Amino acid sequence: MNGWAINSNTLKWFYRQNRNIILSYVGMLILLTAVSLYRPGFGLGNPIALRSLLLEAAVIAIVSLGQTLVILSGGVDLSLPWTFGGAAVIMTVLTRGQDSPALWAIPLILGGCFVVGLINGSIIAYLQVSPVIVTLAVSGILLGAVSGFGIGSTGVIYGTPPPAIVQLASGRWLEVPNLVWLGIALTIAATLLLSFSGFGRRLYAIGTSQQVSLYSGINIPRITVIVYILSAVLDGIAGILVAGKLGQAYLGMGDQYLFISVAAVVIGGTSILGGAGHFIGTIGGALLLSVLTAAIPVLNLPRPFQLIVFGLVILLAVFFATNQTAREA
Amino acid sequence: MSAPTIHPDSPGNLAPTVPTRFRSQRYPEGLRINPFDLVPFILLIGLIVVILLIDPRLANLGTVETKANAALTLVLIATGQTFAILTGGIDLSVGGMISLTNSLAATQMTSDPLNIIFWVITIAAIGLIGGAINGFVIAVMRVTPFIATLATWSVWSGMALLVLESDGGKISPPFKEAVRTSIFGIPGSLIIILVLVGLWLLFKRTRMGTRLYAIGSNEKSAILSGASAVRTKILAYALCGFFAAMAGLYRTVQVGSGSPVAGDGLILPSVAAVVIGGTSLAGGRGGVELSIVGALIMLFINDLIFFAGVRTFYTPMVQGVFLILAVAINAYGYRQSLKRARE
Repeated sequence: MNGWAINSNTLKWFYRQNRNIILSYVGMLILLTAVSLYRPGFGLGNPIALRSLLLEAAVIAIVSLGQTLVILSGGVDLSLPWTFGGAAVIMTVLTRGQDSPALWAIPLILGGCFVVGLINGSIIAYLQVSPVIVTLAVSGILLGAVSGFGIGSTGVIYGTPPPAIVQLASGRWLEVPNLVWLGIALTIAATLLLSFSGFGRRLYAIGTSQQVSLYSGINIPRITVIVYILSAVLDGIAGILVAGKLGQAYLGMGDQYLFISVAAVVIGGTSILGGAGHFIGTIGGALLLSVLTAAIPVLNLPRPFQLIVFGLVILLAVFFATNQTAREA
Repeated sequence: MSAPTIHPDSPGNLAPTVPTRFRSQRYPEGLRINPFDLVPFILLIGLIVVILLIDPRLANLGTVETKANAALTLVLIATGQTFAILTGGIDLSVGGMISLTNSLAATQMTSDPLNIIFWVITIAAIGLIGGAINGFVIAVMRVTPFIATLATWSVWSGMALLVLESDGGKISPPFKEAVRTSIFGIPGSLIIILVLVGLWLLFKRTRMGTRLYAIGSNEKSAILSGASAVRTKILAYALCGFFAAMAGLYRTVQVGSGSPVAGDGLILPSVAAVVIGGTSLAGGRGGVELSIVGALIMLFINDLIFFAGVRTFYTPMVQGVFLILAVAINAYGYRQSLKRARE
C-alpha cells in the first residue's frame, strides 16, 4: 500500500479531493481569528464564549445531518422545519411536561417521523416527482396537521418538554455540553456510514449518476427511501433535543432551521447536485455559521443582517464549488 | 418494386431527409388536446358548481368582485412563478420579495400622489432588479435555481426585517382607492387579471416567448438554434421578481398593513398554483393562463374548506395534498402522451 505513505503527491491528492471541505474550515478559522482580534473576549481566548460557539455549531450540525445525507443522494428535504418542529411540539403535547409519558411518546413520535420519511422517499422514488416539490408539499401537510394537533388539542402555542429531556439537552459532561458530545458521536457514526459502509458507497453512487447506479445494479428506490427515512427520524430527534435545550417547544420553531441546514451543508463543500461531500464538511459549515451568528452582534450590526450575510455566504460557497467542479470536469 | 434503400444516416445519402408531412399532431385525429390538459379546467368548473350549489346566493356580481380581489395576490405570484418554472427552474425567493415590498409599501408610502408614484415605480424596479440578480446567479454563475433563490430569499427577508421589525405599518388610503376603482362596473382586480391574460397571450407569440419555451424544453438545442439561455433566463426571473413585487404591493392594499414575513406562507401556494394549473416542473410546457386557473382552484378549495367548517390552519395541509396529486397526475399524463407520441 504505497498510496498511504505521506508524500507531497498524497497530500495534493487529498487536498484536491477535499478542497471545499478544507476551505470551509480555513474560512471559519480566519473569520474567528479576525473577529477575536477585533474584539478580544470573543471566541478565541475566552473559554465560555468558545463553549457557546461550539454548542451552537453542535445544534446546527445535529439538525443538518439528515439534510447532508439527502443532499448527498441528489435530493433535498424541505419538510425539515415541520418534521423537526412537529416532533418537538407533539412531544410537549403528549407528555405535558412529565417524564413518564416520554417513554412511550418519544418512540411514537420517532415512528411518526419514520412514516413521514417513508412517504417522502416513496413518492420521490416511485412516482419520480422532484424532491423539492414533494418535500415542500409534505411540509405544508405537516404544518397543517401539527398546528391542528398543537393548537386544536391544547389551545397553547408554547409547551414544556419533560425534565429528563431538558437535563439531557442542556447538561454538561467534563465541562463540555452534552450536545457537543453528541455532535462528536454523530460525526464518527456518519463517517463510518459514509466512508466505510456499502450503503455509503451506494449513496454517493446514486447522487453522482442515477443512470450508472442503475446499470451497476443498485436498488435506487430502496436507497432513496432509506435516506429520506433517516433524514426524517434524525430531524425528529434534533427537534426533541432542541426543544430540550430551549426548555420549550412552539409552532414554527423549525422555520429557521431549513435554511440553516441547507446553508451548513453547502458551505461545508457538499455539492447541491449530490454525490460529493461529507458530514465532516457540514461540521465545518456549522462552525462557520455559528461564528457568523455570534460575530454579527459583536460587530454592532442589527440582527436581520444575519439572514443577508448567510444568503451571500451560500451564494459564494456554491458558486465557488460549482466552478471548481466544472473546471475539473 | 424495390429500389435500393440507403440508410438515412449513412454517408452515402447526401440528400437531406425532409419528412413529407410534418407531424404536429401527437394525438388521435379529431382530438388535438391531451385530455390530461383539461383536468384543471374541469376541476375549476366543478368547484364553482359545488360552491354555488352549497350557497346559491353567491351567484351575483358582488361575489365576482370579492373573489377577484381575494385571488389577485396569488394570481400575481403564480404568474411570476410560471416564468421561472417554464425555464425548468423554480423561484423560492418570491417569499422574501413579497415580504420586502410589502414592508416597504406599508411603511414608506404617504398620501402624496407623487410619493405614491415614486414608490410604485421603485417597488417595480426592486422586483425587476432582484429577479434579474436571481437570473444572473442562475444563468451566468451557474448555481442551481433552488439553492440560488433560497439564498436570495434569505437576503430579501433580511432586508424586509431591516425595513420593518414586526407586523405593522399601514396602506396609504389614496393608493388603496386607486387600486380598488372599478371601470364600467368591472372591478379593478378583475381588469388586472384579464389584462394579464391578454398580455401573456401576446407575449407567448413574441420571439422572447418562443425562446422561453425552447429553453425550458431543451436548453442545448435551444442554444444551438440561436436562443440566448442567459438573456432568456435573466428575463424570466426578472419578470418573476417583478410579479412578486407587485403581489407584495397588492397584499398591502388587501391586508391594509405590512409584515416582514408576509411572503413565507406564499411560497408553497405559488408553486402549487402553477403545478395544479398543469405547467410542467421540467419546463417548456404550460403557461400563465393555466397558472391563473390553478390559483383560482386553490382559492375555491380554501372556500370549500371554510364551508366544511374545517379550521383554517388545516389549509396548508390540503394545499400540500393537492400539490402532490397534481404533480403525480401531471407526470402520469405526460408519460402517457409520450407513449402515444412514440406509437
